[in-house]
Parts: sequence; structure tokens; C-alpha cells
Amino acid sequence: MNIKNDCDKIINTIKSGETKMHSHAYFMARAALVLFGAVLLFLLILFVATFIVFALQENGGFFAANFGPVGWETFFASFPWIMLLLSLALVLVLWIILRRYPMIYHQPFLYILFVLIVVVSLSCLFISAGAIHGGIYRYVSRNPIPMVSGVYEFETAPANDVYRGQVVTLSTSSFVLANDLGQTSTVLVVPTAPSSGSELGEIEPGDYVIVFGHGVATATIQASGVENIVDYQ
Amino acid sequence: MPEMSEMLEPEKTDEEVAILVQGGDIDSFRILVERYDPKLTRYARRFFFHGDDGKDIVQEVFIKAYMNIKSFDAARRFSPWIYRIAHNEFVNNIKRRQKERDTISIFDFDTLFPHLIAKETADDEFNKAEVKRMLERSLDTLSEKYKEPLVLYYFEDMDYREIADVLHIPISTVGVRLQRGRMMLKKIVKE
Repeated sequence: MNIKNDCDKIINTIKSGETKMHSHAYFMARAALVLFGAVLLFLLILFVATFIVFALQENGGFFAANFGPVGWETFFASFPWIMLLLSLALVLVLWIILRRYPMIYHQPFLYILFVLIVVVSLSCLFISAGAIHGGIYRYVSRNPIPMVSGVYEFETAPANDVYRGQVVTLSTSSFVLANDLGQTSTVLVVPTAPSSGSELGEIEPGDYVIVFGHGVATATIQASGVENIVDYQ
Repeated sequence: MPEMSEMLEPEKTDEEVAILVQGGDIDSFRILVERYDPKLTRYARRFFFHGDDGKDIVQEVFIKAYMNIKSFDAARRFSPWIYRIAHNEFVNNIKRRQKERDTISIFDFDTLFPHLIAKETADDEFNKAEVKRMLERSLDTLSEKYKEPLVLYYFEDMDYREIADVLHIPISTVGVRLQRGRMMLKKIVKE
């Protein structure tokens, strides 16, 4: 009897029109919105991840990592940790958005995180970080945008023991390097430099290069490695 | 004495009935209400909703189920779907009333890490009856996190996957919570 009363009450509420069934289109639109948001977030994660790659290319972090423990120290010091935290936060938001779907909530978060890291890392291999961020960097260098310009300048600034600039003149075992401010230094190239760095023979006056080494005297750098780079400014 | 609508549609599964409701057959919804009202009322009772409170909240669950029936995928089972609505409704209600935080949070460590204890273990009848007895006696002392999987497994006869679908947690986490919940129950009973 109780069940019958409960049923009647519910069915009467529905039949009275107080309660309306959501249409199929409503759920489709909601799913499409979630999917759209997820795709946008994924693209944003890719953008931040490629920025990390770009920053490490520009600040010399990747290059420095070729030179043993000292190089690794430089790599970790120059790593854009805030960007890494930001991308992890975005991954978390993406997981929260998508965890309404069984294929997501059936798996532990760490599995999802691992899969996303692999997908983003593989994507970064196929996407040219320089092509995306080089253009933005060039634009914001000429047309400063609050915050954005600052982030690009800060994260791409050369790390410790990393020097960046344009080759002015070149001799057999040294060259003169002019930095962004026009200051020049003499770069002495160590003959036993690891093969990971470019041979001096590949460098020509006018090239933009990145140098890993240390100052041995005023305006003199003893280089462990030299590599050509693109100048985005 | 079965209801009239049950007599007319005795052979239809929940999912088949749900398809009829999706097509606009309001009266078929009565079949689902008749089938699930006792189950959800019992489920609500285990969430501390008694008497009229329980009835009101279960009615709200059915109204929400009707409103959202078109989001139900008939290729999946209906039971976890409606229990999920009930779970959300109960948890939200508890939060609203008591500001209780003893509900499952987003950052529950059980859901973050993979667990090895994931396989479904079939209890023998004796064990099942024993755990049910312990659960009846000590339900109020268990935290929500462990109580709900135990209730769904022992009283609502759901399997791990269905419980995972109701609670939106990994299947392996269901196994962990059931195992820990049983251990807690035994500890409580011993004390």
C-alpha cells in the first residue's frame, strides 16, 4: 500500500508537468561541452608542456645536461618548475572534468596521470616547441604584454654557466660572443669538449649560439660546449 | 500481491523498461519505481534516513532519475545508474544538513594509487551471512567510506564493477575498501 502511494505520488508529480524529462539534446550538448572543455584543457596542457621544452632549449638547460653533474645541476636550476606545477594542476582539472566517465573513474588517478604524461611527452616530440613559442616570444619581445612577456623573459634567461649571444669574430680555438646587451666576451673552446656540443667548425660569424662553460677572467669564458640556436628576439 | 503494471510487463528487464520511459511512456516508470522503491528505501535507511525523511529523499531520487533517464545508456545495467543518483542525493543531503565531511573526497588516497587487492573474492554463504550480521549490528560505527561499499556488496548484492559505478571509484579500490571494512567490522565486534 505504501509503495503504491509512493508510486502514485511520483507518477502524479510527473504527469502534472511539475517535472520535465531532459531531452536527449540536453545531454548531448552537456557531453559536447565537457568534451570541448577537455580538448581545450588538453591543448592548454600541451601548450604549457611545449613551453617547458622551449624554455629549456632557450635557457640552455637541455644543453647543459650533456655535461655531467655540473650540467645536471644547471638543468635542475633552470627548469621551469612553476610551469610543471601548472601543467600538473591542469591535468588534475582535466581528470576532475572527465571522471564522470567509467573509463576514467575505473582507473586509479596515477594510471591516468601516467598515460597523460606519456601522451603529452610523445606529442612534444612531434610538435616544434620553437615554432609555437618562438613566434610568441618574438611578438611579446616587441609588443610587451603584461605577465606574458615577463614569463617568457624569465624562463628563457640563460642559466648559470650558460651564455647566449651572437658570434662576432671567429678564430681556430676561440670566438668573440656579443650578448643581447651588446657586451662582448671571448670564448675559449676546450679541445676536449664532449662531442655533444657542436664542433667550432660548424659555427660562423653572425650565428646565434649557446655556450656552456665558466668565466676564467674578465670577459673570458672557457667553454665546455657550444651549440647553434635560433634567435627569437 | 504484485502490482498491475508488474503483471502486465513481467518479462521486461529494468533496461527494457527504461527504454520505454525514454520514449515517453510515463506509466512504465511506475514499474521501475515499484521495483526500486523498497531497495532504495532500505539503502536510504542505512544512510540514516528514516521515516518520512527517507521517503522524501527516495522520491527525490526517482524524480531525478526520471528527469535524467535519457542520459541512461541501456547497454549498461540500470541498477548502478539509479543507485548512483541515490548516492549523490544522499551524500548531498547529508552535507547540506550536517556539513559532514566524512564523505569520500576527491583526493582520497585509495582512488589515487593502484592496488593489488583488486580481485573479486566470492564469499561462501556462511561468511556472507556472518559479515551481514556483523554489519547490521555495527553499521552506525563504520565510516561512510567503508560502510557504503559493504552495504552495496552484502545487502544490495552488487559486484565490484557495479559498486565502482555507483561510487565512481576504481574497481581495485572497491576491493580494498571491502577488505578494510570487513577488518574494521571484525575489530569492532571483538571490542
